[in-house]
Amino acid sequence: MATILVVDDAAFMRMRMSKILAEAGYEVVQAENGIDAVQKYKGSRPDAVLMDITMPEMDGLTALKEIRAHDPSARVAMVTALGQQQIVLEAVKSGARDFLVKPCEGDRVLAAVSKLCA
Amino acid sequence: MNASLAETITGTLSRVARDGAVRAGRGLSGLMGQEITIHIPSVRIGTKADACDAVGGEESIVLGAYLSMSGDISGHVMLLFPIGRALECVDLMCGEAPGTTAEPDELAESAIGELSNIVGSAFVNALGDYTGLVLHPSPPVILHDIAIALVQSVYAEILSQGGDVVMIDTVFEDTSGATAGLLILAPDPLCLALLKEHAA
Amino acid sequence: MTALASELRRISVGIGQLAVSSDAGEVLVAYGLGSCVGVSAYDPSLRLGGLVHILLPDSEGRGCDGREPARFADIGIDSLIRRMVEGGALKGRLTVKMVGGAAVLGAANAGKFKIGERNAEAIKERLLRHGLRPAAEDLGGVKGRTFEVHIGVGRTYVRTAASSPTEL
Repeated sequence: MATILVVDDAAFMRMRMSKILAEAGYEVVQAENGIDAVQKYKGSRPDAVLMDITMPEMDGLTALKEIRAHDPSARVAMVTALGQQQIVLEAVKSGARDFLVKPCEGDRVLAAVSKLCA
Repeated sequence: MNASLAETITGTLSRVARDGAVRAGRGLSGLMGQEITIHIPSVRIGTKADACDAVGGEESIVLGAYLSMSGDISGHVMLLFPIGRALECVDLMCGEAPGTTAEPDELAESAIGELSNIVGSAFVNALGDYTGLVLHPSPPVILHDIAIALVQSVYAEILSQGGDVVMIDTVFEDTSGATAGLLILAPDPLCLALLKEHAA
Repeated sequence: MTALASELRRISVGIGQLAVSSDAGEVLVAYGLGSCVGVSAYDPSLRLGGLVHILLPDSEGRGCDGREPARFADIGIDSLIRRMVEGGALKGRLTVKMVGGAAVLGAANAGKFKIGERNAEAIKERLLRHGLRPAAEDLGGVKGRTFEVHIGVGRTYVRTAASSPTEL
């Protein structure tokens, strides 16, 4: 079964996303900031990443760039409260394959993950 | 502040605030699984701490979060919820029966932080998109304190920069009409001129 | 707190306000001091007490649109001392205490938000000009405080969201 890396500084969000994904049969790895995300990506080689943007230590856009630099085929979707048009553009330009603005329904998350893993 | 700048700022922020309120309302409703109405925010120049009335008065204990805003415009964003309501929100967000969360533990604080992040970001996004500027809210800092202590601290920070205090404050209500929370958004006075430039 | 505590009348001293009282049934209170500092002065011979609620370190170059000038440390302290002396107090008999000056927007932001610290420093400097030093203080930290001055007994108390009143 596919492994998804869930990156968010809020324990509540990690818990919620993990629950949605686990119930749909995915394996979940969690990270709580950008640095943690890059390390876990290198360590667990997940099939896809759900990445928050606003995080301490290293934000999600920077982590996205580092992960893509390490693995140009990395499949990352941003899941963030930060929905300004300029930021969406930057994420897409940096290689994000999808951009979900929080809060998002479980169905929306699963649809995005499904698309990523396809 | 001269009258023309004041008018432009109030006008801009009123439009932004309305858009932000709609976005935030959607966000809140989605998170809670119930309709939350956000009142059309009042944009006040030189306002003061009477915002606390919305959360049960100056002395009331509130749970919420502070986000500092940086990027093209810097400033402060703060979400405050009367503590009882905050814990109810946590129950709703976690899909628990109301009354389950009796005290703010780590997970409850994280949930409130995330709620504040989502609602605060909705307003920041509206401000960013409206002005064409890029704004970054910080990760939320959880607050659990006397309401007026928090509000006056933001107010003092802005005043100390020698400018005018411009604050958007708005109140959330659920379908029963009970107050669910208070949002304060205050740009740094040094950024007000930039805000005026980029007002559509 | 004594059994009579509930019969006492609480007088709220809001931002930039100043109150002086010799009424034994009164308690002067500054609620929710975040970066603000509450300064009390008490003359035990007269049982005369005052409390001022300060918001900013100085009034330099700043008008306040006719609102509460005592919100500034310089004007606030001068006004407190003047009102106490007008009430018959002697500077030499005054017990002065300070509460507040915290950075309540998160420990992580404490480095950025220095107003509380600056308030405390400015107040101490101004007090020194009057030949006064605080006899007790509860300053700094990351939590808001409520400061009570009990006129009748000449005692002061501090409480926070998490704690019940403690004598200062």
